[in-house]
Amino acid sequence: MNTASTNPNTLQSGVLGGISSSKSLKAFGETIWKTKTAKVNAELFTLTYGSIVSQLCSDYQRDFNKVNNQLFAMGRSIGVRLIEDFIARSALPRCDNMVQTSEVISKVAFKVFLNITPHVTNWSSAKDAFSLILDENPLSDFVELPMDAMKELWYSNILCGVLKGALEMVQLDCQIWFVSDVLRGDAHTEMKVKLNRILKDEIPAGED
Amino acid sequence: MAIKSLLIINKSGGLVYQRDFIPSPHGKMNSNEYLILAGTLHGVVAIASQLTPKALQVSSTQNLLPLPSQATATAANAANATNTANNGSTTALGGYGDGAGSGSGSGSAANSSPSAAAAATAVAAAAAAAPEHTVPYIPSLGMAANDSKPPGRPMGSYLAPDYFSDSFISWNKSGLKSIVTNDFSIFLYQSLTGVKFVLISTQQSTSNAALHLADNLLRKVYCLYSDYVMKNPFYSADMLIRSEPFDKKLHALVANL
Repeated sequence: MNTASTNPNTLQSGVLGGISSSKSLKAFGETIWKTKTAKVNAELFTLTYGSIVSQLCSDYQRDFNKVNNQLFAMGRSIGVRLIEDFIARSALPRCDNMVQTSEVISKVAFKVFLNITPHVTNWSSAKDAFSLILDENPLSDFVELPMDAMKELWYSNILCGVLKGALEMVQLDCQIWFVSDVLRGDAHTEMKVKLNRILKDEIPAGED
Repeated sequence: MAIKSLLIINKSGGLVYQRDFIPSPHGKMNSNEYLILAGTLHGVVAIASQLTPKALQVSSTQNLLPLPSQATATAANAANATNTANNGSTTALGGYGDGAGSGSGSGSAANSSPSAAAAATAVAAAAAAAPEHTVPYIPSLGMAANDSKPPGRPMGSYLAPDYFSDSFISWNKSGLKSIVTNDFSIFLYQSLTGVKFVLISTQQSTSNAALHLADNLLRKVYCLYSDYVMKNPFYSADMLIRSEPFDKKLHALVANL
């Protein structure tokens, strides 16, 4: 389980020296995941999420818009709590821009909690919106959407809520939604993150 | 250092957790007084971050330079705010000092500063003098020393032997970091989300080493908080923490020091 062959001290100083150096951020995320994070069987997680979604679908009489909203709300309340875990675990400094934020999300956050590293692409010209391409999505292993859900249900919508809630707690007001999903027959699973505004007033006193 | 007490203050300045580790022989402050202490600390952090020595304001590229005509006014404002800060902290410490029967030590936070600036500002300046704000990792602090279990064993959602093993950056760059009095010291650690962890220790020094020790310890408390408070589904945000597992882990951490 524990294979700490590299010296984490050197990695860490590299990350803190320049958060923009994405190479070291990747190594940093991997070290945290490998040596500092307790692990469970991923199937247990996948199946638990599956049972939640299927229960929601039957509870809402297959009104998939309601299911999407409920999943988003559940994710959001996970996110506002999960951010504390992420920050306590990584102790990364505040991001200066969305490019850094995207790197931290894909290379550290997704790595630590889901053990995947989504690609960051489709930057808007103002650098305030980007896409996360999830090549593998542990939530949707073993899943095939029923015909009536194909057009409406965003199966992994909880992830949008989690990101929304977590970013809100670090004063980034964002809009997050799914653009495409392999479960719906698209080529890849794409999640869009768009920064609305930075909540400057709410940044805690004492940070420069 | 021996730890007298630990407080957790939420981002809106309310006290959500308070625990004594060394019972005071002179009785305890009541919960209302602790609430006031927490609110005052929250305010003082905010005020301290607004008061920056001129030298640092000039060197900082982010701060706008005040115009000559405004400079006097700014200085006057700063002086007023300084008084407020002093009053605030004296009141707060006076409250604690009465409880501990040591009223004489209460004002020394301000007295210990040789310059005209408030103690809070002096601390902020000292913090700003170290440009990186990096806190070195102190190994096996508060971890069970004679633990024969192998590394890789889970502790909460973390893996043994320790919660983290690298140096890290302090998020509290210009706010209040520590207060020293004749009888005790107070250390503050603030997370990126605005949660404050306050440690009251019997040690009377706020040397860099003591500050680093406190930051290391408080980050571990933050790790415990993120596990045993945030992951409790029945805990509602910003409310009082009543959690048996959290209490137990915290006592174990402090007992291992």
